[in-house]
Amino acid sequence: MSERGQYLKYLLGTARFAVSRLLQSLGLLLGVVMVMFLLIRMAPGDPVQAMVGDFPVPDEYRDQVARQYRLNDSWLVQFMVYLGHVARGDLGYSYASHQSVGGLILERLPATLLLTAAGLISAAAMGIALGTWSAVSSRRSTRAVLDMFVLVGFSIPTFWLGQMLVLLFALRLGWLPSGGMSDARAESTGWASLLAAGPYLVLPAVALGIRELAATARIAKGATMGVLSEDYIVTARSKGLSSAATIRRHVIRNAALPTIASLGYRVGLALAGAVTIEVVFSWPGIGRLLYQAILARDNSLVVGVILVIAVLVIIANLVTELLYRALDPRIRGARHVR
Amino acid sequence: MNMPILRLNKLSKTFERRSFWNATRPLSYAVRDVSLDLVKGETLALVGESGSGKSTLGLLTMNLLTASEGSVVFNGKPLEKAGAKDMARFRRTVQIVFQNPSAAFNPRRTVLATLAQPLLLHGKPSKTQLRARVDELLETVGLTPAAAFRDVFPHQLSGGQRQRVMIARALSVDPDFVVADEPLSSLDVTVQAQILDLLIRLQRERDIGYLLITHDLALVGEVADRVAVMYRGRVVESGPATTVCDAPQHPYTRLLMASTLSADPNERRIGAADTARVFDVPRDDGAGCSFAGRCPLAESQCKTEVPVLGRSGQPGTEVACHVIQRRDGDV
Amino acid sequence: MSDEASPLGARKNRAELFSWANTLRSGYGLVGSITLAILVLAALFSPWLAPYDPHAISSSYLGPPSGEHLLGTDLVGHDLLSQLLHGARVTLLVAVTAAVISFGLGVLIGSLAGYFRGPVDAVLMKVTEFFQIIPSLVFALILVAMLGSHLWLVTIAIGITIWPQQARIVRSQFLTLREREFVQASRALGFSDRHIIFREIYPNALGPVLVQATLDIGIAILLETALSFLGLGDPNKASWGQMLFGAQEHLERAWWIALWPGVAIALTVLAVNFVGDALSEWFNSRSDVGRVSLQKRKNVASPPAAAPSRTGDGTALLDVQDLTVHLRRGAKVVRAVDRAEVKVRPGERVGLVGESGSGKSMFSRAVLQMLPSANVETFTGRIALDGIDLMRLNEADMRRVRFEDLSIVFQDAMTYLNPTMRVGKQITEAMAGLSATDRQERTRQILASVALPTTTRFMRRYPHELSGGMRQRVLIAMALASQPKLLIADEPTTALDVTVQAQVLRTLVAVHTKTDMAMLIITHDLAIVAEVCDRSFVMYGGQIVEEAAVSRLFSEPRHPYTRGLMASMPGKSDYRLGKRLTGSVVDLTDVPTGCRFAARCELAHDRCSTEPPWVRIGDEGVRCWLFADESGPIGRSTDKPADSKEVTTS
Ligand SMILES: Nc1ncnc2c1ncn2[C@@H]1O[C@H](COP(=O)(O)OP(=O)(O)OP(=O)(O)O)[C@@H](O)[C@H]1O
Ligand code: SF4
Ligand code: SF4
Ligand SMILES: [Mg+2]
Repeated sequence: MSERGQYLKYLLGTARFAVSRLLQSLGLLLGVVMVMFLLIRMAPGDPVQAMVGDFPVPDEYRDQVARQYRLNDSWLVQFMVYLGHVARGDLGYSYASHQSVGGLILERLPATLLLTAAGLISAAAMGIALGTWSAVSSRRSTRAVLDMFVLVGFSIPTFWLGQMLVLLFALRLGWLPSGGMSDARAESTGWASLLAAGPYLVLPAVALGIRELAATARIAKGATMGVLSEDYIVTARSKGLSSAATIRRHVIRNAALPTIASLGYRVGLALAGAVTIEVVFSWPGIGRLLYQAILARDNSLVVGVILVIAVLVIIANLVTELLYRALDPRIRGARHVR
Repeated sequence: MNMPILRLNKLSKTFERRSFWNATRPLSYAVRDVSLDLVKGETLALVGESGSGKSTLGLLTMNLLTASEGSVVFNGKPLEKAGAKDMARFRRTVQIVFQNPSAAFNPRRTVLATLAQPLLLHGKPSKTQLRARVDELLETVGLTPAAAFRDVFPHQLSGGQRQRVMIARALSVDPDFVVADEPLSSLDVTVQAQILDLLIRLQRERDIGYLLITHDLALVGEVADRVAVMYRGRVVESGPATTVCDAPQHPYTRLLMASTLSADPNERRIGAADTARVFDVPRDDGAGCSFAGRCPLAESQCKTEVPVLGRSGQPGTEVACHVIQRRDGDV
Repeated sequence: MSDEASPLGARKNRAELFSWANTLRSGYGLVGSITLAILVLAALFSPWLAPYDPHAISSSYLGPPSGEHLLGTDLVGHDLLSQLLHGARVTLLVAVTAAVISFGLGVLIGSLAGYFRGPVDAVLMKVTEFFQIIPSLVFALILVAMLGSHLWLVTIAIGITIWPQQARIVRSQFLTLREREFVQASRALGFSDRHIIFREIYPNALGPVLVQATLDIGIAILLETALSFLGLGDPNKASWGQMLFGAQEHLERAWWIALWPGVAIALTVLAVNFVGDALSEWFNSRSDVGRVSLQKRKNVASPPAAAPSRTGDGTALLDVQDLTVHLRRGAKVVRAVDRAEVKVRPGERVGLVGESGSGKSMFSRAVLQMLPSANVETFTGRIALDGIDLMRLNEADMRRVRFEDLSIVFQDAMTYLNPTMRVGKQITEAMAGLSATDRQERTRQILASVALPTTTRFMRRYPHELSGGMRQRVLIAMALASQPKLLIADEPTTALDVTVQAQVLRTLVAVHTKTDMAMLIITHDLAIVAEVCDRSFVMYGGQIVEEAAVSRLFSEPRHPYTRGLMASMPGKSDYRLGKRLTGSVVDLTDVPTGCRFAARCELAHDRCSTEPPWVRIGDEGVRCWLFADESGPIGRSTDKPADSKEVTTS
């Protein structure tokens, strides 16, 4: 087969793989919807009240909801109807904020994406650098210091770290704002608003990123140490390559693979971390939205946010797997490995 | 000849891979349509290249893997129909010795515990009886004085000693037949000879039959009574060991024999010639002879029709090859 | 178990003890355990330790740390120290219970999946994946939000959201252990599934499972804290997390409310993680006893080289004299190579035969100056390649020698090739100072010389896409890329099938005849020496015990070990005589003072308790007392061992 043919075959294989993973993910999403549905129905009290939350409900609205969601029919019918709504992208209506759930989430989503992306990407980049560096460094003490940092990073509650950062850098030193995403007085749009959000982003991103930094550094270090003890490193040295060339050509790419493989999973954890961080920093994202919805018992909104989080995690996993396939020639054509 | 203890009847094994598109598709035939008789007191050597299905056939024989098709016949009954009692008897009759003695033991048990377990399972000996039996086993396999080995953990022993303990474990149930999957290849050369001597001695003393899985053809010539050559899951030639070694029929067997190294520097077999031929091992689509891609004798029939084992020109040997069968048939 | 009956057993117990001690001494484990112990005690005795009733309300609310209230008071006026001590109870109780729930669920689900496999496994793994798609905090959050904030509900919610990791671990332990040979052997012996699960699999899966269970405690603490902070903790139970609830609004005025519980949480989780890390290190160290780490490879003896001195007698290409390599393994010293003398002349094909553990691979590593530097105890002697003393080269110069003059082919082509680099690149990488097109051209020539396809398509392949024989030839091609003067092949065909082995050996011979390169073939297989070598060295216990022309080596082996080796070789006529060597290879960490072969030698006699000298016999040599008489060699030729014994002891 020609080069081109091979490449086409690879692309085709990748497309197949992506489609099959997507279909599987749909199944999982279905599961999520089902569990959420059950949880709402299991919640004590009146189902309409459970969906709407702690708000007085006018009778006509109650009837409308009951009709819309067929609350008087069997659970199965109710579920199918509910599923139908979700499938059409109709996540329901948030009575508390007089807005559709979908609209609310869309409005808040960019803030969360900005926060998690900033935290995760900078943490991952630094983590990989730190981990690799400590693994190739000849001094034991370097590794010991990194190990210590990693363990500490894993042990601090994310939101509490956020509070301490606020305490120090915002309240005591006054270097950075203590919360929010923009200055209420400034009116900026588009890229300008993103730029304006910069100072507000620093503290929450750091608080969110420390744990991810620790995690990535640990994986990168382990992977690099593993690669260094591989036989092909001996080959490289026996060819006469210098240490720097060996690391550049033979270590980094192979060590990056497990680190990349772990990133998808970390997106989920970062989103979870974002819930508390957004509360600490009054960051207007879906994490804080979830928190507010829970406090207001606005269950349609709760379910909506959770579905969105699940979708984000699924997308992150898929992207990671595709990236992994592109980087590891052994996986191409074979089935994915976890 | 003795009655066979076990008959392998048209055994096949496929490993399937789950795939999203077509629910399952066969990954590979590890073993295809293999029939063999396993006899008490006799050594049947199973040779073939890596991945040809030797180990899989060994595990099928032991009923440690379930066959996709065909059956292992024990006592005139296929094993899948055997009841608990027959099964227990089967377990006492047929045992296995593995290649890698370092993975073959539960690392948390001493030699004594390792050997006592099967004795306790198949009987109710007293504590002193148990100890005596274990000591006897250790001495049988040449681990003397037994006291020095009883309370030791397997990973503290040398490879050869571990292999002896493994053989002792197999002997603990007093089997009539032992499947030995590459029992020597992880051992040092000088130790290999010792273990082989032990296996031969046990065979003589207890009339044990062996299925000796090996890739070492020199060994086959030394110890086997019969030999079966496997290629890509099929037996392509079988017969008395001396005949097959001295006058191989099947093109693959010939290649195999021509590739064995000589033990004599004055009779070198590996010349510098013939470097041009490289086998980018061709894919096997299941149609025709699986050796066709490498075979110097291949004809058009070979690409379409699967050859089955049949009589060859040599007495007692069977060959699965169109060309050889036709040639010998015509003569 | 008495020491006398089993010296090995005693050694093992000591080793076990050491590893425990190490775990503790490593600091982490010890600090973690002590901290946790103190915490548990503090929690248990909190009613007596706490200065105040945690619910007592003092007059000063939001009071800063003072003599009266060491850590200050909260917004109602509770004493923070007392709250902290009492809160430890709640937090630890929740965390441990949740970890137990997670352990139970994880082990159950993981075992079911691993035991039944097939569809059961598929379904359970989907369930696990489901739990990992919704992050545990979010999941626990809505469980509590929907079902209520009682302490036990919070605990259960945490437990049932964190088990997937444990389930995955248990499952993979099941899947790997059930294929392990000792489990197969138990099945073959007729043991029941119950026996196999509980007696064979679980005990061996214990390590990683316990480690995860420990880490789960930390995870549970963090989750409980986050839930409480978000206002979903049990308001009636003042856990540490509950203390943090509401601290947010008072950060500015009363930092201490947020500080202390956070510090307590971080320290506790840190202690748990310390213990988990130490445990996992301990379990790991137990599972690979005695593995030599080749972590760093560097030239050890590299005094700054002045102009490399040309030494040697001029006829030998490789001239190794008095080479000694001792390595540290734990507390012991492995005498891998002792005073080895090896010469290889230009264009020669020389063998180096020995069993595993005879030191032959360390010999080749020493020649390449690529010993595992961290473990080297002694590295002395002289290694001259084409007159250049390699021992005196610095790392940069040595690298140039490896680049240009000296190449090595290893045993296991798959692991010695970089899996993510195209094979063409791996070959060109080994070439010096050529233009890109020249390199391509040269690569094609080399590929052709090892009978591999010369197409661009082939060069763009990855190692896993090739067959074993092709991979081995890529490795050879790589070694040839620099047109070396000496090629060392370390067990070049051991992992290959006989037919492929024949091809690879043929390739080596063909390459050799086309160039004037010399080859040193290291192997355990005498047949390979018989097939391809002109001359050969025999190595035993770290020493060269015999050197001879190959035809001579096979017809009249001198050293008793060589004779034993010949008698162990199926196909040789001696084989059937059954004169086997007894015992096994001498332990290089514990060599005798005299002849290292004495314990296995039929001809051992008085003199053998002192080390035999290297006896030169013309171009050949042997290290054995039988040949050390001034009158010349005794017992050469095919003398019956019994006779020679008579001669030498007379
Ligand atoms: N558990 C398994 N799952 C999938 N494929 C398998 C499995 N076990 C074996 N195979 C495949 O079945 C074929 C036969 O393997 P088997 O181990 O029986 O060969 P072998 O002759 O014993 O090889 P070797 O000489 O290397 O031990 C190979 O293609 C192998 O990859
Ligand atoms: S059947 Fe044909 S291809 Fe197969 S071995 Fe015989 S001649 Fe060769
Ligand atoms: S020196 Fe003595 S013990 Fe050693 S090989 Fe010679 S005879 Fe045997
Ligand atoms: Mg096998």
